[in-house]
Amino acid sequence: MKEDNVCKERVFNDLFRTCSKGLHDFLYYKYGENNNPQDIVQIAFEKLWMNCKNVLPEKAKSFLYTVANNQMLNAISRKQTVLNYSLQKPKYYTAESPEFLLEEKEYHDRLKKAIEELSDDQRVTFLLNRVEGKKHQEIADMLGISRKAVEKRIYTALKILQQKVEINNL
Amino acid sequence: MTNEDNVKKWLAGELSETERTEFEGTEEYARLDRLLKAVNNFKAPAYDVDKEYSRLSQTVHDKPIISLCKGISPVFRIAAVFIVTLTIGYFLFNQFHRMADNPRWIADQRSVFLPDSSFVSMNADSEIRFSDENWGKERNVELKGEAFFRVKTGSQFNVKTQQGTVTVLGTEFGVKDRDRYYEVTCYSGSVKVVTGKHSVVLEPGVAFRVMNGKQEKYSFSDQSAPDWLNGESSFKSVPFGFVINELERQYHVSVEAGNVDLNQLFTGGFAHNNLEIALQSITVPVNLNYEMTENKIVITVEGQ
Repeated sequence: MKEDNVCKERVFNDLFRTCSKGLHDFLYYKYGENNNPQDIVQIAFEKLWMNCKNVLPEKAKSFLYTVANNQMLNAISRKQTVLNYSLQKPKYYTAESPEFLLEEKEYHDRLKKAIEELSDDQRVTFLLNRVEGKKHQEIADMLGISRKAVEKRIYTALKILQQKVEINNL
Repeated sequence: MTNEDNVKKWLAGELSETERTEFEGTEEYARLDRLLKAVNNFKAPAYDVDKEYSRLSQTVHDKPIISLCKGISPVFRIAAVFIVTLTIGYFLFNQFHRMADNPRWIADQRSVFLPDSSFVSMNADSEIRFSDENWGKERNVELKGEAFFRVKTGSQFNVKTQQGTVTVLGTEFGVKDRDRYYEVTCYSGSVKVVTGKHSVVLEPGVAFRVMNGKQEKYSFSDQSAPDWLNGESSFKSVPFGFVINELERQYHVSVEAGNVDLNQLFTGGFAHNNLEIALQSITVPVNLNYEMTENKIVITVEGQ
């Protein structure tokens, strides 16, 4: 029986289809948008291709994450992490007062700043769970930490965000 | 149950039906709910897998596949293709590899993470070079200048400079290779230094140096990393000439000290954030004067 190896286009293609988005999102949540997560994903896969004879298909995902993280750490600018957000329009239309809309915007600005100020590890764990809906164990496997550590990070991040966002609402 | 417990259990989905309904009626929950809904606005931008794969296919087409030789293929045909690919790959590699990577010298960053996440921090005027793909069985770094290393436990790690080679298995140490000044400082772990025909092993708190051809081993305490990582240069019984050289490097200035005895030993240091104070720090303790004009600094003996 022929062994599957990463140098086979079909296998490589499959790996890209299954891993690329997750890797991209992980890099985006952890390091923000101005550190070119798309480019880092490309580079990680380029390196996987060059090393396809030395990496088993089942080890490929962890290879990609390690390479991408290292590449990012080396390329990283000292700029602050920046994330984007777009306020979703409410599904039903109520006549909202200008004061309310302003308060909403200020709330979201505080939240954006607070998320950006979380540590990289807290942020990526928290967002992968709350925004991407990934389960605690899934995240633990992805980041190479324990499930308890994931729960702790999520709770700590949440507490910090609550503090920072509520600061004006006394 | 405290509020904190409520939130933790709610997050984990561990509240009973009644507990959950009760919690979801509180004001605390209303605030939590608002925050978590707002967080959803921060979703990562859409990732177009097809578009990104096309983009990847274009660059990957030219990339050579590296193979660790595990034995000679019995089929001559395949072996021939492999050799041809590797040969072409060797020439294409430098051309197409676009990231800041081996084998060119890295001088435009002060700190670098090596392929195994070992960490290198470089002082002013220093460069390193290492090979990405051959990182594994042996870890080799070439250094020009001065750097601090934090090495992850693993295979043999070698730092080669002009004046010697340092070998470690996993540790923290500094290497300084400047003109006629070679110094290796061991902060943790164990470090072997080979320079010329001389070989020495250092434990934590011990440093080895060769200054102007003179070798010595000395101990130090209360230090887990070099001072230059914290914006200061410090010296212990070092010929004054080397102190001036370091100041020139940190501040990108040129210092004239024609009449000064460059061999007198100096113990002390200077900070990297203020040139005037730095000059005072090195001249005052040894009875020297300095004069700073627009583009020149001159150090003279007091009274002359």
